Amino acid sequence: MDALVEARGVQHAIGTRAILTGLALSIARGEVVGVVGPNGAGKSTLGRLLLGFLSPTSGTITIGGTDPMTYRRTHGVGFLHEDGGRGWEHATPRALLALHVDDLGALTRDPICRTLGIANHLDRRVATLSKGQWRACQLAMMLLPRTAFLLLDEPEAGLDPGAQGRLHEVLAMRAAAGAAILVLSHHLDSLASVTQRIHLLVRGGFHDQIDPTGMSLSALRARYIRGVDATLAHHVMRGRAA
Amino acid sequence: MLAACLVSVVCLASVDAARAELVMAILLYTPPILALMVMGGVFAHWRRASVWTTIAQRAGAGLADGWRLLALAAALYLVLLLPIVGLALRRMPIPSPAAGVLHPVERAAVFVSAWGIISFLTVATVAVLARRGVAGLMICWMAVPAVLAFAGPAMGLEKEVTESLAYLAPPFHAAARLHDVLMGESADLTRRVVTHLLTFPILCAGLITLGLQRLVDAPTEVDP
Repeated sequence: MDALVEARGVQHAIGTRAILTGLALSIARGEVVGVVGPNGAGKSTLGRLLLGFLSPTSGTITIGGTDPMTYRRTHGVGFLHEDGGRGWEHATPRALLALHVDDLGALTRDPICRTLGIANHLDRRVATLSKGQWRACQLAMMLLPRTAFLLLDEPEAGLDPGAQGRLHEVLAMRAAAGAAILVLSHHLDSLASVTQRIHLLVRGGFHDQIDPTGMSLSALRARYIRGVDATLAHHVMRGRAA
Repeated sequence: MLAACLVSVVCLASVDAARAELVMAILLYTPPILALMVMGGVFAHWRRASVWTTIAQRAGAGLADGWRLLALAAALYLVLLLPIVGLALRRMPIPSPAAGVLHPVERAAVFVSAWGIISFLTVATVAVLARRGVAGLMICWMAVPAVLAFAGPAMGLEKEVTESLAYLAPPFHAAARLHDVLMGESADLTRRVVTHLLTFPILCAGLITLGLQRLVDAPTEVDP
């Protein structure tokens, strides 16, 4: 398949502390990939590297054949991040969408906007929106420019089950249109619903790759726990041996 | 924060006390410093990582967005500053007609205009470059000439070195002498005052450009 995102041997360290240790990742157009792992595993750092907000200590990352920062500057990326409303409290979603979309008049007719149900919130101040309403507006901001690469960090935060269903629906729409999508999350059920494969990230390295198709949530959870425990135990043994 | 503001007002006013009444100097220094404190807060708000993360993901995002935000801040700053300046000018002691009514007001108008521009550049530069403590850093930067005047000789710095270093600080003293220079009353100071007033915006523009580029390139570091 035509890979849009390619990462090879990616390492990242802050001072002497290794955050990522030789990751390899490939995301094709039309593919939705998930990364799951315990807190502090390096998911957000991986996201920042793929967006070009950080540079890897070693290894290479290319998006569309160029480095992530150049790609972001020339093509734009869709990025859903946590805590995205801070600083914009006095703005309205319509004003923020104007940063990303040229034709605001067509907003309400857009299938993504219709699916997300944000038409009634467009002219309210961000500070007055509920967490779920703001999340829906953020999703619209990241999806409406129709960028080819989308990265979502904990997209389910603050969403009720209905809104999670709408999230999966709009991601499937973008994937069907050829976008490469990476979802960083703790929610195995959500990842299983929307992704084609899930990488298990523990202590800065990928330790398992799971195809969630046809797997029950309990089987998925058992494999996650087994993977995390085995990796942590391995690190403890190595530490003792050293 | 307020204590630092008041201390800096009194310190800066004291430096000028030989040339004018202390109360008058405090009246002149207070409005811009209060405006600076408010603007520091506004900039810190806009400097939040989430704001720049939202901007940075768009194709073609870059310095133009940053300068646009600064222009908006400049407009807000003017709206904030003008009523305070107007109030300060109204409360100034009015001299008798024989002493010339317009002269002190003209002088204050020239000084406050220059002050406004310099203070905006100062707060914008510090707020774009610094993650925390914008007000404190700003006051430290403003105090550089005074520190150099006291510490320079003690550290054995030559006068030329001290004067050169002073060009890196905001030219509030040059602003205070601008009226005299324009009236041709301080010919010996003209070159220094004009040079300082012209080079400072260039220095700030360079620093702001660097800071904005950094914000667009790496916006997801820790929120201030």
